[in-house]
Amino acid sequence: MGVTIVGLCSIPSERTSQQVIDVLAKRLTNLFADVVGVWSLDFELYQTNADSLSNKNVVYSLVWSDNNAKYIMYNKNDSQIVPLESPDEFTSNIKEYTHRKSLKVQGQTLLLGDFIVKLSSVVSGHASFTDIIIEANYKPCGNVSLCWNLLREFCMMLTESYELSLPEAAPASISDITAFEKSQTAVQYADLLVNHKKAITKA
Amino acid sequence: MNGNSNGIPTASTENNSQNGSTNSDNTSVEAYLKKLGNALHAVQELRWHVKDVLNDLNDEVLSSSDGHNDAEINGINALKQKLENADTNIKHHLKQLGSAEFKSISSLPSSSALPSLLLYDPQLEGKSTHQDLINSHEWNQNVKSNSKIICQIMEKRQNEINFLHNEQDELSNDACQDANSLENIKNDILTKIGNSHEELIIDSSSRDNSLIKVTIKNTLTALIYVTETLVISKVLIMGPEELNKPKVRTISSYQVFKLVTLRATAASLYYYGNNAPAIAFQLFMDWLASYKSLFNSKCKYCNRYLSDLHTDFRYLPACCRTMDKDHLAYHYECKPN
Repeated sequence: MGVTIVGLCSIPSERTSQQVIDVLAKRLTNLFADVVGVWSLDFELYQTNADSLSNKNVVYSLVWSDNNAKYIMYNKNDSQIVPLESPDEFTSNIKEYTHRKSLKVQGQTLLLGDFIVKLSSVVSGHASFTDIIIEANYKPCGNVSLCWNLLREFCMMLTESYELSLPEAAPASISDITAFEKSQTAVQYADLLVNHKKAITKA
Repeated sequence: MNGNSNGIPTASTENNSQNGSTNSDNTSVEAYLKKLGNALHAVQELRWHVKDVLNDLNDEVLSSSDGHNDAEINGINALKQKLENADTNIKHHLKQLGSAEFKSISSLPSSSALPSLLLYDPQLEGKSTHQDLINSHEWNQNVKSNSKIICQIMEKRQNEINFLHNEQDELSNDACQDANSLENIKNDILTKIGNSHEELIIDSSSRDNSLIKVTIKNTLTALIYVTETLVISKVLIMGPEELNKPKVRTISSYQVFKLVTLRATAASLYYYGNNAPAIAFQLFMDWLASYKSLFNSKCKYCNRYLSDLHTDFRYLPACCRTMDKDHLAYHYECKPN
């Protein structure tokens, strides 16, 4: 299973996201990394209606294309994004929610030794983010506290000439767990996509 | 032991050897035989002398038959007759001696053997009866002494065989005890290591007691194959979740654990080449416990988590640990020689 870290790499003004992704992919392939496929993530934001009795005001839905995994998140304490204990709670009451925003994260997957690297850009309709998302998964270790710094160093080594924004410490929702789960990756994506200040460029 | 050439049986010697007869019986027999021999010799000599005198008288009578008067001739003839009578009487007495039974002394040969010996005229046959007796007696003594020696040799051989059997039994018992003691030593070492390193989870409950599973929580699992003499024959390092896969006894699919497996094999060879098996086993387990910081320890040389050189070991954590007590972490390219 491994531990996954998700970070945001800033794109220089003179370049596009696809160009940066190509450069990073080239770096990895020069180190004998293998391109194993493409992937995408559908991110949707829902807000409760005014007359809704639900205490969960904002709900996020994340669906992966490579393994059809789906996670429903919500804001807990207005700052912490956590998975819903029962996704059926949302799907059964979906009429109480209004769809506000959709984002699509898409890119390619590369395999370098024990690391699985996903380089992806964020697209919102006809606009794209000025940053690219880097996801690095380290397969041998399953404990967040043991290999978090190792993953940070790997991402920094990979994007040494670009500005990389990585969480200093593991999010509070996953730092105290022993075994990393896939839902924790969804939490990081949701936190990144929701809280990051974006600059929209016209396609 | 069928007797000598004269057919004198020597069954008494068997009785003596079986009953453990003492040397005093042999001495008395020898003394009696000597006395008898002397007596016979004396009798024979007397007979010879009588014959000599008779022959001399015959010669004297023949040579001086013309000069002697009738009275002298009659006297010589009378003397001659007496000597012949003496010779006949001696012969008769010798016969009587031959027919007599010597019941009081059981060690003597049977009387049936004596007549031929007593009537035996050594002068006619050219042999000495006494010497034959002595020779036969000596021969019997030799046989008895040799049989004693043979008995001693056989006893010695039997003792050696018994000793070897006992020694073999002791060795097998010792081997069982040694196996049990080695098993106890192994369990003691594992208990001691488990107490000193809390992060280690040791499982030695395999079927044949040759496999020890050592798990460092959230880090790795080591499959250690140990012989009966506490020698590590094989080490496999893999991720904790890989134990659930079908092919467990093969090498790990992760690069980091492949390198750690190589290092573990080198460490086992190093420790067992310089120490006794029990000590080497303990040192190896202490070395293995240092891998609890495999993913969160920086290299002592380059102060980085990952190795970034363009080699086969690129982007691997500090997988090498020094063999000394400190167990410092290094990348493969950064480790000191």
